[in-house]
Amino acid sequence: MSHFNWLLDGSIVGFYLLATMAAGIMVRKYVDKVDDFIVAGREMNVYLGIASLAATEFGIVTCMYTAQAGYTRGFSGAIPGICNAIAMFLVGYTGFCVKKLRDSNVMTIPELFEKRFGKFVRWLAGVVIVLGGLLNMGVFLRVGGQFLVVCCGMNLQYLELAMTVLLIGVAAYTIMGGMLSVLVTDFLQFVVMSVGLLAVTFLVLNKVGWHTLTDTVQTHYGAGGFNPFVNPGLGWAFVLSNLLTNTAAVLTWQTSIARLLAAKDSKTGRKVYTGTAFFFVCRWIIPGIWGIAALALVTPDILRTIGLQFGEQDGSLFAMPYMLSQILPAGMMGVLVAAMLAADMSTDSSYMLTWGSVIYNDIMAPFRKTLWSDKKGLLWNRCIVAVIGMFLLFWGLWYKLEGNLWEYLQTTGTIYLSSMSILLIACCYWKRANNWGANAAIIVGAALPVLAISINMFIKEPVLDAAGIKTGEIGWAAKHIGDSFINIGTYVCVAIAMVAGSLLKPAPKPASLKGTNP
Amino acid sequence: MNLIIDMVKEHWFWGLITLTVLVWYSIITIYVAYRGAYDIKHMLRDLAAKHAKRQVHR
Repeated sequence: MSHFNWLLDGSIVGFYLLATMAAGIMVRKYVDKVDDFIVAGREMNVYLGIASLAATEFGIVTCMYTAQAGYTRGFSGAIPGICNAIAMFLVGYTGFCVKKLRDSNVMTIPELFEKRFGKFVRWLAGVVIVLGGLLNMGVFLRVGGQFLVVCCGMNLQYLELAMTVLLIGVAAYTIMGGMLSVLVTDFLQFVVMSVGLLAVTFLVLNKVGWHTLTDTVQTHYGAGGFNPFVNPGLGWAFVLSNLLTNTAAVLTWQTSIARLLAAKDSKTGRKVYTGTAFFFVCRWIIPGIWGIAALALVTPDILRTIGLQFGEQDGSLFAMPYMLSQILPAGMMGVLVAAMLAADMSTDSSYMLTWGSVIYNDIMAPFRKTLWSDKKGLLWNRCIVAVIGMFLLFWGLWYKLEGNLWEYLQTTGTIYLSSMSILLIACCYWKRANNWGANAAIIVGAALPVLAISINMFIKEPVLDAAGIKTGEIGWAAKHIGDSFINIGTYVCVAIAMVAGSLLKPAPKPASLKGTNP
Repeated sequence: MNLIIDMVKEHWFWGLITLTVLVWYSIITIYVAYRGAYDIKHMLRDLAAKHAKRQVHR
């Protein structure tokens, strides 16, 4: 039985939702150009950028997979957050790639690629970015709904309805105000989300205690729960895989790059990166602590029952929301749900907008033979955001996630993260890089993760417990190669493809000096 | 206070990281809430000026 009080907590949530929607819709009057819609007229300053980036990068889905990592791996599960923070700080501090990217005044990464590798590479890059991004965000809605069902004790039959209404609201202000609405609502969402996250964490620590948390991790996972290098399920491959993924994400993840490109200048963009870096530790530690608290307080039998309610064998994803529904008092539940909805709305709006901008700016580029008017461009952008919203709704409702959520997100993200990051580095720093290498890298970068996902979907092997009884199924590639090695292998193959492809293309002959001045 | 001592004594690496997270995030929330509001005010003012300028040119 959840402690969610529909009158008290429901009022808090309702008030927050109305205030956010109103703010998002109010700023639509400032949008009359495509530039305003996609990059907020490049008027974003540092602190708004930090709030927006932090809010976007923390959704209910983030909270669920980071808490799941805490529940299934203890403190070692927070390693991806540390890798992400290190990568973001170093990239922001040195300006590696991002300075050149922002200084080029492009609206998307593929637009920069066109300058170096030609029109086809821009189009192909747009296609893989959208493919990887949409598959990635496809699970957001369902996981968000599952959180609300478990946490608020909401009837399962209302899951689709509640998430549809939420998505329509988010889509409404995103369609009207574009990046400007996203920035303003992100700011409100950052404040509400942060207050909620901190308040709940203090309460969890106070109720459960640090000693119980560390004892629980020690009992379940031993030293491997504190040190990923000695954890048999993680090891160096897990750490390296996360370093690669997170560095690539910092350089090319569409929602982060959109903030860099919306910044006033490259210096502001880099400050947003360095200022937000440590937040990535917070976004893994805070829900991770909640996940460990769930490990201490919730019995596996309850989780199995909840998992089966959603048709899933593994109930570890639901440990955290169930634990919170049991220990938080009424009033606090409203703060938590408002914070989680804030987190989810900022993520959904930003993802719809930033991936929509790639469809408009890059995939549709070959179809814009003549310069489109701002009115026509805005209309197309708005339609694309609406179509992505519909995709989210339908994919989110029928796709059933199996296994670890973070590994799914990492694999789908790698479809484009591996190739785009290598292309960006080559584009900025390797003079010999050319379109042969770029095309080869994009194809290899997309083919390997898609192959791994397909093998895992179609070739299954049983998971047996210590007594030899089947407890579930696992994909062949995940069992025999491992998600981390697939990820690392993809980056290595993409780099080889980029180098080999570029070197295979004959170098352009040097321009004749005849007839030129000495 | 006991909680803080526990966090530093038991598994000090994760204890210190968790403490830093809580302190840093609390401070940054207040600071970004204040400065971010100021940024929004300026951004909307600049956009309104640009908007007005475009209207005049039309």
